[in-house]
Amino acid sequence: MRLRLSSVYKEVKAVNLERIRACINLHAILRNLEDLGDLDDDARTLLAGHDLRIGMHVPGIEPLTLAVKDGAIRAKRGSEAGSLRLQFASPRHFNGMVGGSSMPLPTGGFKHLGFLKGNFAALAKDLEKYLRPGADDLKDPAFRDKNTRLTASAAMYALSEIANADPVGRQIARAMGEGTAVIEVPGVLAHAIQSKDGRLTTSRYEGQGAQAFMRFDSLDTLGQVLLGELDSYLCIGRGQIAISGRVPMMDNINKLLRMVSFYLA
Amino acid sequence: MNTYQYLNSRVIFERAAKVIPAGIYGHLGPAEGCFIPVEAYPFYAQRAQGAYFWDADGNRFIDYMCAYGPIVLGYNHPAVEAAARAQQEQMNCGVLPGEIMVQLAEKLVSLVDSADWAFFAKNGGDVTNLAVMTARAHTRRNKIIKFAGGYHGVSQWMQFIGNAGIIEEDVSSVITLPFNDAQAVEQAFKRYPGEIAAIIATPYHHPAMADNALPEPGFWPAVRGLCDREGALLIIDDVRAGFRLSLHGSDAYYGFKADLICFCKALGNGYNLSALCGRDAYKEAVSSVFYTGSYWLSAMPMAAALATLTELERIDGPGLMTRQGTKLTQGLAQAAQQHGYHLKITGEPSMWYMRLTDDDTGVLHQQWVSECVRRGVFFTNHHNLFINTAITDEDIAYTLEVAHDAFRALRGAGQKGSI
Repeated sequence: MRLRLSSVYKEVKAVNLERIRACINLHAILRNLEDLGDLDDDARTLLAGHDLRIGMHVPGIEPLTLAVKDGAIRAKRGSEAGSLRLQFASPRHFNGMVGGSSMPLPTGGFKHLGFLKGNFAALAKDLEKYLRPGADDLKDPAFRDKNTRLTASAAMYALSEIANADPVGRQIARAMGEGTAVIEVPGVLAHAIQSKDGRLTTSRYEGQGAQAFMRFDSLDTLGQVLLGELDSYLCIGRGQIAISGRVPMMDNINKLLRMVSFYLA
Repeated sequence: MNTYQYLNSRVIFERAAKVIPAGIYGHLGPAEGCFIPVEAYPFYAQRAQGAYFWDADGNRFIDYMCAYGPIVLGYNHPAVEAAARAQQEQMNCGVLPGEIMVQLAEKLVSLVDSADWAFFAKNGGDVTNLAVMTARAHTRRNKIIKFAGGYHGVSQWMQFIGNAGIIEEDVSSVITLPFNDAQAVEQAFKRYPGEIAAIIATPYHHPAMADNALPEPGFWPAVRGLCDREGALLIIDDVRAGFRLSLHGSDAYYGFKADLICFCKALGNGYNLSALCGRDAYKEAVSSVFYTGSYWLSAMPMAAALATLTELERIDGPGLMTRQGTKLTQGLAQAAQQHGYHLKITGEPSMWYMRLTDDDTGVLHQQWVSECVRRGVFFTNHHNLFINTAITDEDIAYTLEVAHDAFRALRGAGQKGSI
């Protein structure tokens, strides 16, 4: 009896893990196509002249809509009518697509299938190139710049997904208290993580109303920390990372960031 | 006023970065010590005397952290140093304990109301952990109640889920409740009948990064009564407050009696020693716990502790620290008011907590504290501060001058839009 319960428990855990990974893949990794479109010339070329919405539907997870227009992508939570609708049978099915081992099931907007198979697939490959770079890629400063921005964006959005879906993440989120924490390289990039009713939401920071701050002195420092080349604790001592405001809030953000590296590994 | 520079501290830190994790790890380091902004703080100390320490660049500071509590009589107190030196000449770390161990235990039993015995270790966490193990050994129950924000050391069960290296099983037997809420304690006993081994709590609520709270009337009697009714032990973690409120234990100060009480910090005026004291009923249980350490019975810190307690008794240390703390905190609050700010003081005057309430982020307070540090008054922005008996009226007067100047700097920076 004990063995059976234990195996059921493991199965439940595996299903949850698959779901959390799907949340991250949808709302942190694929959402990142928005930033890719803003940063990368090749991506802009692939998007130019297209006007459509792609809805991603995974059971048990809030859908994601990617609106393509004017050579850019805007990512939005929720579904919109008139989209190219991609339905997935399960979180595992969706994660398989992100990993390249399964295909989505289009259930509407078939006229856009060509874009999906051609340009969208190329965009996804472009994104993967930046998020999973080779050692030589990172020697190119322009590539490294984009790698840092996109990795940071993926991590910040993944952080909220983990806080809302992972059981330990939820406990951390509840302990954060309400308010907004900002992680930024001043003048370069800024993400806001808002904590409300025990749930976290990541967005671009507009410069108002935050209570906790983590400021990197340069994009290079942020990149090195994300790549594990610099110890963030040493960076605090050297003044390369400055934390201020509500420290417990930032402390909990750090705990979630450690979990991000587990999920994105 | 001139402000300090820390060139040597930074040079040493870069050497440390190569050979020590985080350069300086733990609460004395820039990350966990909340050195905000980091450039305002020294990293390394060179020497200390009385109420002061000098950093690696030779800058002098009045130390209102008192090494985070241990320094209760001031650094290098002559009576304590003489006792430690005399013991060192006889023996320190040996294969058998010295008689000084018995003398110190007798002193604690005579001073502390809830002490019928004393068990010695090194750090506060050693004895809070031992207290919980003792409670579990005595009751044969698993669960522990603690209060949200309460700090009892760094053993796994005392940490939080999500902390690096902590797994769910480490904390699954710990129930966390709000301080001053006896009803919540009663409900926990109802929810887990016969499962709760102990409640562990500080005598008043002194969490970091939050206003401190004194026990509300009726809270401790109610908790004491619930523990008695349910057969659970009441553990008072007096590691931080011990001997700064009363020499008889902080439970006695607030009018109740603990079953087990944990001391460290002020016990040895900087010599490393902690003690778990308790009532006779738990003497056998504590003896049954397998718990020891290489340096726990070293004699020199015990001689220092005996001298510290004797001196605190002679000068009424807690009374003196309360008076000096009251003078200082009233002066700081008035200084804030004169500059158009509100400095909220909470906790006990001998180990007060303060924060500027004029913004909801803490940034303003962090900035003001950093301006005090740059001028030679060592405060922290996240933790309760400490008084020691070496702090004079002149030190307090100088501190208030610095506070005024720091408020002027704050106002100036605010006008320039840099805060």
